[in-house]
Amino acid sequence: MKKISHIDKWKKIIIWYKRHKHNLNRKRIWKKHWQSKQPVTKNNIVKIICPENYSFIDNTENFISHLNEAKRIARAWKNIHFNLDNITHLSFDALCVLMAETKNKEVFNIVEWSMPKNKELRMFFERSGFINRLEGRSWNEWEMFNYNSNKSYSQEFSESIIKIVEQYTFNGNKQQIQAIKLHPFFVEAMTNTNNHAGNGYNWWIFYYKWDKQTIKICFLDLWAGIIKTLTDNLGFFDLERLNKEDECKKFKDLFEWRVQSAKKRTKTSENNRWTWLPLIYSILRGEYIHKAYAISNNVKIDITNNVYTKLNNISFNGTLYYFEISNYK
Amino acid sequence: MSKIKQINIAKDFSEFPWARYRIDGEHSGEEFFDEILNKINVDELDEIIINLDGTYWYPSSFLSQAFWTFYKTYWKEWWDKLKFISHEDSSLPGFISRLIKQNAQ
Repeated sequence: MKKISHIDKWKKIIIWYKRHKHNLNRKRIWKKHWQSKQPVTKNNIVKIICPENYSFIDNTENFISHLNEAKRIARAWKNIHFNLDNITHLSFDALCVLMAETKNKEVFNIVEWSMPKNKELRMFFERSGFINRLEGRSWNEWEMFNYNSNKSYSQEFSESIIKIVEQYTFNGNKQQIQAIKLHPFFVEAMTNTNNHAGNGYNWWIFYYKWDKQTIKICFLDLWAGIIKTLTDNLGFFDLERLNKEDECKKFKDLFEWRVQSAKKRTKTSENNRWTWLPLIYSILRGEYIHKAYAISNNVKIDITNNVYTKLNNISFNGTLYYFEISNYK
Repeated sequence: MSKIKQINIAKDFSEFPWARYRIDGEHSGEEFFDEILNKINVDELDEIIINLDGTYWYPSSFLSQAFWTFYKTYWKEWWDKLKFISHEDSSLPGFISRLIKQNAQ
């Protein structure tokens, strides 16, 4: 009997793996096709009751939990109806996360909404232009909400937001916009998504002209999250000085630049790794920036007040940076 | 008489310095090194003054690619010829030196 060589064995494994991936892909395409042909009836629409305090930052655990539930149901080939009827609070950050998640056609097919009953919230929801964005309609001038999403860099979008902040918040004062270092923030955050995120995972930048001279900005990366990415790349970091037990302290270490690469193994041949994270942290602690938050995996960080909170038995599969820019220190 | 070369990044290169490599987009650190720093005849100069003012600040990837490549290419003797000035943000020259020192360790 012919003995199978070592190389033959690997060839067979590779062929099997390619076939397996091909089949999975076919299955996914077929599922999308099948789902899109189904009439939207009561039977295949599932109502998700949204938490009353509809804020990702203030009500993080409940928000993630309702989103995970929606994803779980959507993966079971159902369409989702987000019921916002009884919400008592609605925030911009929640709308950003919701839009980025529901735009993911790998998970969600048809998504429906019911408007908040509360008059003010209803107005906020309508005025934001959220539904127009979600359905890919064109931008109307009266709407305040805009976003861009991409895998690679978008110099134009980054520069356009900087110019908007310069004009809207600082009345064209270039020195003030230079002081807040918004430009490196966008570059560093986009770079990280560009280098680490898997295929099909984009960054999202949202901005909202809130009131006179305040702009809210939200950056989202729905790939893995910081701790997960770090854990996947353990071999590349010298983690001796990084706290291994407490994840809040781990974030603190990362923000304060205590992580160094294991020498000669970096892509950039530099000893420093993740210098973008301390830079982002210092930018978000700068003057003119208020209410800066970061949420990644199971940690929520109030950057402005330097408070680290571990989430209870729930994890956000991504990273959010949220902050407000105003014309006062 | 000492020979000095002055470079103003905002005027001579861009107000929006971008990321690390050329493939990342225009005005990257790699482009700055290739088009500006590497074209200077360092041997003939006593000092190169880099004026950092006028830009919308710098991504760390831009700084490390541009100046770490300079450090690696021209070694420490030429690094001492490089002087950074910033009236708008006095912490910036120190930030660059720290980046390079940590890489050089």
